[in-house]
Amino acid sequence: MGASMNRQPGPGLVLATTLPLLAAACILPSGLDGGLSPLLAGGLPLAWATVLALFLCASSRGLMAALGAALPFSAYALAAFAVRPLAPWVAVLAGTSLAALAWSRTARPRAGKLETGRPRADRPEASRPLADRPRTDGGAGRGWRLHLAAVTLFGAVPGFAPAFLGFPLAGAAISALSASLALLVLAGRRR
Amino acid sequence: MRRFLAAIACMAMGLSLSAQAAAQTATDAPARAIISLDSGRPGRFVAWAFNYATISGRDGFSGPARLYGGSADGTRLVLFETRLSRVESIRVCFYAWPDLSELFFEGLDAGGAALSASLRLRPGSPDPESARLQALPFSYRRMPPGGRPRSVSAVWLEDGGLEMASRRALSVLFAPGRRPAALVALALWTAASVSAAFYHKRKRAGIGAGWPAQAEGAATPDMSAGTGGSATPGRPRGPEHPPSRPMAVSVSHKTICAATCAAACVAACVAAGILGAAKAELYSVYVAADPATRAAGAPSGAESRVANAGLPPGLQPGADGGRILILESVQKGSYTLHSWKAAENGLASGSGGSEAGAVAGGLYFMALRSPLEAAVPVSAFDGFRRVRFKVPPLVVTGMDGHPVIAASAIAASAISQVWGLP
Repeated sequence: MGASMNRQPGPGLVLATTLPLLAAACILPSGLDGGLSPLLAGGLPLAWATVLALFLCASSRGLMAALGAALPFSAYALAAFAVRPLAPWVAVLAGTSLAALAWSRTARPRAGKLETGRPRADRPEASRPLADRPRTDGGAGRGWRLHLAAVTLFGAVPGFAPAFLGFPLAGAAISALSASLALLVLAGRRR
Repeated sequence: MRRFLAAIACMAMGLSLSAQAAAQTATDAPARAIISLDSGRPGRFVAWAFNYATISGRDGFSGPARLYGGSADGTRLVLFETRLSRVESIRVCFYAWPDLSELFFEGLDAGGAALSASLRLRPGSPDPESARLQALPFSYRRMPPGGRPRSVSAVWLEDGGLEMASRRALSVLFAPGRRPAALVALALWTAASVSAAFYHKRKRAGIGAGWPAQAEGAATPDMSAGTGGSATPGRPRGPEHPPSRPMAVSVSHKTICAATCAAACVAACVAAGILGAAKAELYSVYVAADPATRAAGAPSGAESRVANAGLPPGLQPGADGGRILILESVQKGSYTLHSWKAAENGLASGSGGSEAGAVAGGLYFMALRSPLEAAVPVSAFDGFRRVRFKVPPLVVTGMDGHPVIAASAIAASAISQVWGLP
């Protein structure tokens, strides 16, 4: 059960991400009477994708697949419902998504919960990052999902906070910094 | 001697303090400018219409500038707003209503000093048109979920009076509709992304044809979880399949797939953004003002049955026939004009406020939906003698320098309602 929660992203995840968003785009009118905040309009599809990825496929690859599938819907929502100008808010959404993805790659399960022993060369998981390796203890699957969700939020929130307060460019800059820190952590682990 | 010196010191201190106060006063008090209405008569304006004025100052203008309008009851609204770059005078456009009693201007001169002006307005003499517009009702709106009907019965629209006509127009006719091109693009992206996920899953499972065999011990990141290092079905292993650079082929194929997916995602985002961009819309429907004029111009029974054949049951006219209003959508640059006009031979006729299908004594009920950016110019209302806005609109300067009605604020959730006299 725990291993099935951490399977590779498949068509089911992409379908579950895109189909409800497509249905919402068809149901909603092409424009509203008032403009929405760009964070709300563009962020809702990405938030939906993130929640679904963490629930159905708790891995950084699943998160990447879900966010990638939801991006065009986020672009449509920004163009149809969000007040102008859009450029700073697009930068914020892109930055926070990248930061969340980068930090999700750094998530590692608790020591002792993976298979013990040296990684064998013939095992495909040996070459995969820790964040994508399957877990063998089904009882800790929910714990791993919560851990991955916490790390993902840790990467996304610093960029969202100033944007939410009305400083989108500052949010984009902080997201870039957060993503860089995550990449630094990943590079340090590989040495 | 000491007393004399102390007196001199006190006088000098007093003089310096008064000089500083005078300088501070001179700095704080804004310079003056002059507001001149284009009507030619001092303080006279045209009520229920857009008016123009020129604001001139000795040192010119720069930076942000605002024109406020004050009513007799003390309310103050921003009527015009712009941002200037060193001009000698400003030409402002503002909407006036009968209760408008004063205009205030605030801005900066070319040197950056504060600038202000005010003008007392004189109420015009009462006229029947103004009284008629004053009495017109506005209604509420329930955002219509569907699309715009192609035709509508005038009898259905006008049954119940002007207030009911405005409510029906807002809740049924004035709909944003759908943008099929954007929805098709999103549907194609959904299909493509799901297909790509299926292909990726099959490739991981080793079912895809033409994939080079993997030598035992060579790590493949794409293999599905839990399968370990055992041979997957369909993949031959052994010395008859020598591993000629398996890792290089794996990495390049993976890179190509990733690059293709990223490029497709970017293309889909651009297409969805362009096709889904919301345009401002101006809706207009002709409403007969009184029952007598509603009867005028009604087609014969046979003509009305033919014209009404495509109408849904709720919009079918009664047995006595009635005028049919047909939708005509025209692209007007930065906005789209959707107007329902009386049909002649099944086609919408006329344009703007004067049309062959309009009956004398009628009104136009309009709504302006521009939530995202200023797009509807003031010139869109040139075909009307008088227009009555539910809320006086804010006029800004468009990209081409002409006055444009500002976009609605987020909190206002406004669709601007307007009655127009052609």
